[in-house]
Amino acid sequence: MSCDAPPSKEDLMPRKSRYDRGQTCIKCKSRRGNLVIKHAVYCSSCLPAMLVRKFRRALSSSLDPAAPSRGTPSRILPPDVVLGLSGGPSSSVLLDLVWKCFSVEGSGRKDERRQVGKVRAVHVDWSSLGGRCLVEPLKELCERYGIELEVVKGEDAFDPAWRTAVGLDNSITEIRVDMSSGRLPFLSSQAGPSDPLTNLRAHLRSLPTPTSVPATMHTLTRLLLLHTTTKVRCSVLVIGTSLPRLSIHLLETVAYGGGFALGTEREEIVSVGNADIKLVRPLRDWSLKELGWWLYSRQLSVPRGLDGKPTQELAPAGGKTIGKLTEDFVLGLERDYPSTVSTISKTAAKVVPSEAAAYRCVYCLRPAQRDASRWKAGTAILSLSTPIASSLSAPLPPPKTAPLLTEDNLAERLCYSCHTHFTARGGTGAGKIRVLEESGGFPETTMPLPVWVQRKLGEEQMKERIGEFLLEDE
Amino acid sequence: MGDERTIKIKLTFGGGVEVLFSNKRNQTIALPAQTPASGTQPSRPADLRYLILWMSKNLLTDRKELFLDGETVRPGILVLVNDTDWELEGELDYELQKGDEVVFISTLHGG
Amino acid sequence: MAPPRACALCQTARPIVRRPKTGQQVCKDCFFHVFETEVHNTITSASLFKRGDRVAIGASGGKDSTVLAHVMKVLNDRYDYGLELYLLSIDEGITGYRDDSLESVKRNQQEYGLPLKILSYDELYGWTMDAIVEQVGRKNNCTFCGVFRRQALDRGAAALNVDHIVTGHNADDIAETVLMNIMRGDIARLGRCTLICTQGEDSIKRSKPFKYAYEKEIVMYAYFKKLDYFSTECIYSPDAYRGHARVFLKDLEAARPSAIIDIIHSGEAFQVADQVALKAQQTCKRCGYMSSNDLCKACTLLESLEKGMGQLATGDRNRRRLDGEPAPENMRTIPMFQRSTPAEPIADP
Repeated sequence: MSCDAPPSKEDLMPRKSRYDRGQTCIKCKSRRGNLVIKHAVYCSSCLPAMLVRKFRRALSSSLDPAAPSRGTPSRILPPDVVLGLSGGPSSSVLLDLVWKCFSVEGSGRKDERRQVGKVRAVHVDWSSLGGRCLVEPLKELCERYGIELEVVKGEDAFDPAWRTAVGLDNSITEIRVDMSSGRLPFLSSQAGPSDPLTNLRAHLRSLPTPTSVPATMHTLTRLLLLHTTTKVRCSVLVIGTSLPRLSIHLLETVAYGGGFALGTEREEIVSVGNADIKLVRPLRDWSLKELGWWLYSRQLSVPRGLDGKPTQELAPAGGKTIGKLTEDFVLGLERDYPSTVSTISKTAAKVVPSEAAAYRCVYCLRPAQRDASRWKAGTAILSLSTPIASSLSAPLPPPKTAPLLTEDNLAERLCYSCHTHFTARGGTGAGKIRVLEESGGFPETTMPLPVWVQRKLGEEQMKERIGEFLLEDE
Repeated sequence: MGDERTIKIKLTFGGGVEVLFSNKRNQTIALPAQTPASGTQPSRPADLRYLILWMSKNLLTDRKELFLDGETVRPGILVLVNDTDWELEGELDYELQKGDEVVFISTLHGG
Repeated sequence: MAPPRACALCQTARPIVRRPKTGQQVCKDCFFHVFETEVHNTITSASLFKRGDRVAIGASGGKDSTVLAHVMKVLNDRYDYGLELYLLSIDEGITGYRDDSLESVKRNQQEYGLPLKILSYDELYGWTMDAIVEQVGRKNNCTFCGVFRRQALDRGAAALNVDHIVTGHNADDIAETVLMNIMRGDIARLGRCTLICTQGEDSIKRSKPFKYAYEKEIVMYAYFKKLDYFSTECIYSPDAYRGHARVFLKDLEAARPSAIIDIIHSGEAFQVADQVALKAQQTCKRCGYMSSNDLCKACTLLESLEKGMGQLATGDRNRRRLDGEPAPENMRTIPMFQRSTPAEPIADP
């Protein structure tokens, strides 16, 4: 049925020539251009000012959306910011642009009204899983800009000491779930080793398919950065997601079933502990061309080489992950249909969640719809005990009729995509991650959870669950 | 065929792509001025298509797939010829001149 | 360690397939049961039908609609939906493709004892797809076919006096459409494409009971049930861009089978931020069909064919040139079928 009312190919994406109006710079209209960006040609004299202006505007408007662009200075104190650095090309560009736009030395303007307070950098180091350690080169790079680098290790997510350090409730002990059931019930037994690295490896190993591994590491990285931001008492986390990377993430998020929180891939405010952290991506409109030009013209060094992804060692043998497939697909399309990358980002900016969030996912802290696992049970039956409507006029009772009677499980408190990563199995092209195969003392079906996942319901969540039984204004 | 059998080309690597080229950011190479004739293909003056092929045979040792995509470079690698986007110069068909500087910048290998 | 050799669902029978959707090894009976029950769940949770509804199954003779006709009949009997089912088939006039597939629709009709209505492009529009392709070439012919089929189904439904058309769109089709609409920025379609039911002209509803059914499982169901269907691809269907999306979706499915349903779930979980203002609906000045312009899409396309300028009909810039030409004498009026309203519920015998 795939031929039903297709738009003609012209409607889809015309393959245009790469630039529209000759080879002269469209800014100064005199010099010969050096770079083509989205069909427009710019010369090397006009590019730097244009790129600086673009970055400054993007970051300023995210930090203080209400501030006038010129004239009267904002009355709020300039916020301290944390830069989340992966060590890749966009990290170098982000660091350099923050210095160039928001420091007295970089901008060369002594009278600059300060828009940014203290700048710190944080890097999540995954080298204990086998990848290259980038801490030393990143430290050197940050020192050149006079910025202090804080290093967090991937396994810190499973370290009770780190939980104390970032100020999370310390009264709970580590918790584990039973992966053999789609409801992911909590396990009462605390048996098993508890050093952070063993827990991290067991966490990744118990994921049902390789696709979940890089996706989960991405979420863990985001959460480690957010918690570290609260630890240093900052309220803004800045990361260097570029336009192509954003579009790849957006499409991946859709493929993980995360459409409900699609908007958060662009910009989000996350409640972490008692603080609200704003996560901003000022490079989200930067194409590869702009990034590459900035790297080249500023002669920036990049700590992580082309071969050094943190998940490199975890690439599945004999298969591809959804993340890798999406990256190949988007970049491949971009070659024949050059507007694909920006169209994906623009489309995502125009959609909003279809309903109010029921709660925040305890794992990724993103807004979630109620109980994804029940929706899945109706569309893909995994057990014959699933109730079936007896006729047209007697549909299934809605799942919220008896929330308090279900067993204590993780599934009810996850968002759809985290639940998918924890439960959906791989297919014929999934492959296997060899380095995670040894068990480290954990049974196959036991998954330790990161330290921010709490078993106890917070008061607010408790209220939310029983809300319909409470009388107003008691 | 002209007098000069090779032309000197300056190669510059950045953005992390240098790890595939012995971690050197700059190299000067002597590129055959004409492509070798093969089968039905007559010899032609060296162009960027030929340079990329020559680099993959002479400079790249392993992990070629991180740099190459068919006869061109992988998406995400910016190519400049004498400080100018190769898209303004005819991309793969640009005919190299003595002393040209070709820059390869990797921009997308984040996570 | 040997894999368990019992069906993952009933725990007794010998499994014969690994279920594409879930990866579970299941026996034949359990496969039939879960496949049918999931369609039943789709129908009941969306409250698609009510007792006494007259429902036309859009039947092309291909795998999706053949299995749909079978499953609709099975569920209607098993759960006593009380629906009156019809088969509605559109003959596009493609020699060697539709001729043969219509034969398989006719065999289905006999087997299930459902009344069949066949409506042809030739009868409605005075053009067959063969003749259209001759004029416009192969590049844009799918635009004509899509618009003409949609209207033909609506007109056929009116002729049958039904309330509802069900079509065989499966989960793969819908997931693919979600991806394509995101990639080409078609916000209006993105908002609509995961709806299970849309209501158009004459309040005839259209819905997709196979919204969550995997293409592979539909093929598997037809195979084990030995259903008779016609499996040739349309000879005029090159849509390169959709081809890219389809290959990508198949790769995602191989990495993680739930990806198809996950994409549909994503599509359902968001909506268009500022509702794109819909054009006020009117009726076509020539044929009376619902339209957002003076002429409906089918009449516009038909006029371009009559002028011998069909290949210009699908781009905005060309349209102006086309509109400059006067309409030919004796322009055909596409016949309308009036429903006898309200649809009389037929009493059970």
